[in-house]
Amino acid sequence: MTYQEFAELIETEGRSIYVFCCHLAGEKEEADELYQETMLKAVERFGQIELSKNPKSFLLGIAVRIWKSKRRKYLHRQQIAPEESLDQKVFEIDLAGTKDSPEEIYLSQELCKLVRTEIAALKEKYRISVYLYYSLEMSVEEIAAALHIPKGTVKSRLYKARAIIAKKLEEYGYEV
Amino acid sequence: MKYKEKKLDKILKTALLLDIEPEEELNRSILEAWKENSSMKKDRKRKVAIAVAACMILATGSVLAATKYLKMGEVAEKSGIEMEHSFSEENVTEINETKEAGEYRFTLLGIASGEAWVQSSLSQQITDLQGMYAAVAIERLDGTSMADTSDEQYAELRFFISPLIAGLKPWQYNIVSMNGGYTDIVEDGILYRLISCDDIALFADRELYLCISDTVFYDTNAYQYDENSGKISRNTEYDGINLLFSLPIDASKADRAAAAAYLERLEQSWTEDSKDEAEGLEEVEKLMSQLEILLADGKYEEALTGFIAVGELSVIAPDKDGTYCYEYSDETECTVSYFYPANFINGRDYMISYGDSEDGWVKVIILVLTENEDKTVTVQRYEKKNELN
Repeated sequence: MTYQEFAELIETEGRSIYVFCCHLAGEKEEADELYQETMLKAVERFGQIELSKNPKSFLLGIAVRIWKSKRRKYLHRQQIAPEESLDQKVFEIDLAGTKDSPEEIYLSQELCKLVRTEIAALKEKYRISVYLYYSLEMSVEEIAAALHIPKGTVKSRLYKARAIIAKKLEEYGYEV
Repeated sequence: MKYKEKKLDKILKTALLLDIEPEEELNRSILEAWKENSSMKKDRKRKVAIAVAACMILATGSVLAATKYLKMGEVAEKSGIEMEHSFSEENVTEINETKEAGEYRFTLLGIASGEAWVQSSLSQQITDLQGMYAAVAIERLDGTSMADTSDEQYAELRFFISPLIAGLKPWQYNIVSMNGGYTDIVEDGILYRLISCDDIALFADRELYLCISDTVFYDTNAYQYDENSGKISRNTEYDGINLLFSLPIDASKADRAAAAAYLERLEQSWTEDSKDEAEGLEEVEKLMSQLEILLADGKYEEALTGFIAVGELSVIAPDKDGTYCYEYSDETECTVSYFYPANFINGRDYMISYGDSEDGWVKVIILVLTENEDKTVTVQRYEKKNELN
């Protein structure tokens, strides 16, 4: 892979990978680290041929593997020095301007925070599928390719995650 | 129902909306690190990858005093891996056994086990790697150099090098399943592969092997596994590379209790996912049973709680064979249900089924059939999705 090709890869796929890292890590510093390591590992590990097939799925798969192998370290670090979460830093900005319609009014900042909290409490495999499906808007096929699991497994994970979130929201008194 | 699902989808999408990008400085530092790594490769020619494989037929095997090869410790050092007490002579079991196959000569340089670590030159991160290590030198028989890890031809090389354990099915227990990986470097035209995986010394009271094949992953065509004796052997009919070395690990390192515990942990990790995946469907099956009981008892209203009527009422006449055909379509597919004259109780009967819906969720469908005087049947479809916990 040439420098130019690598730069293009960052340009085209960098944002998606970074968003996913942010969701996964929940902290900017950890997200930066995970993103950096993912991009470098991709180059270190694989040739251009594999990257050209489906770079996004491929990179996300690497990010998941790195996250799983490092999460103990991340969690430990968070315990030692709790940092400002992305919730405080980023999501508030995103919700500005979304209150134009009754539907968007309903989606208050409070509800979104609650949803994020419940998603964060999901088992990791459900959570990862939810991030990929709803945040990155990947198809079931793309998620299956990224995680190296069958499509049916992705569907099952998403189904389960939705059911859990819906039940939680109902418990909190939201109508979904 | 569909409205509700769309609402939940919208909530999830909005809640996870993240308008954020990596900072320019972060991307710049990654590109700088790439450049640095790239220039280092000219000297160190290093490439790391996950489990893989490669090339042809077997010829002879011999043990050489392989002075021309790097020692295992040197391979590790050049691969950026350090071991506690290093890969020193007392730590490494030197083997230096050579076998030729296809266009290549493979030399198993040695094995080691213990705790090691990798410090990435790029991220300054240290990764602990605990387990078993083996180093193999691969060279071309015609004397030409192996492709450098930065060359395009390198990507075409396929060598699957993995430890195997007698008594354990090799297609289940190999470097891929045992948390393995490898590092390749090329020095003076010779490709050195350092593989690592969980420490198989626990199984040293059995025969231990190292396989080298020309496949991407373990190929059941390349080797034979005797279910009775547990022995693994080469398939002499195999048209390709399928070498098998013996790994001389000290039998005193065997620990049957630890080995059994390791296998239990490993197998548990494999089944954990599939068990959880099945959970959702188990719940659907449970619901289906409950629905069957209610509907058979004629408790339609109770059974249909939470379901919504979908589509219009259909009046169906039987065909000449007496078969009723109910056809409906949703956004992605058309479904046809056939049924014979139903067993009407109080003028009603039912059919229930479930399957994936168009957006990936499990959808339970109940067809309520109402008998008409003119032999036709009126069908109403009810659906329920995402209501299971």
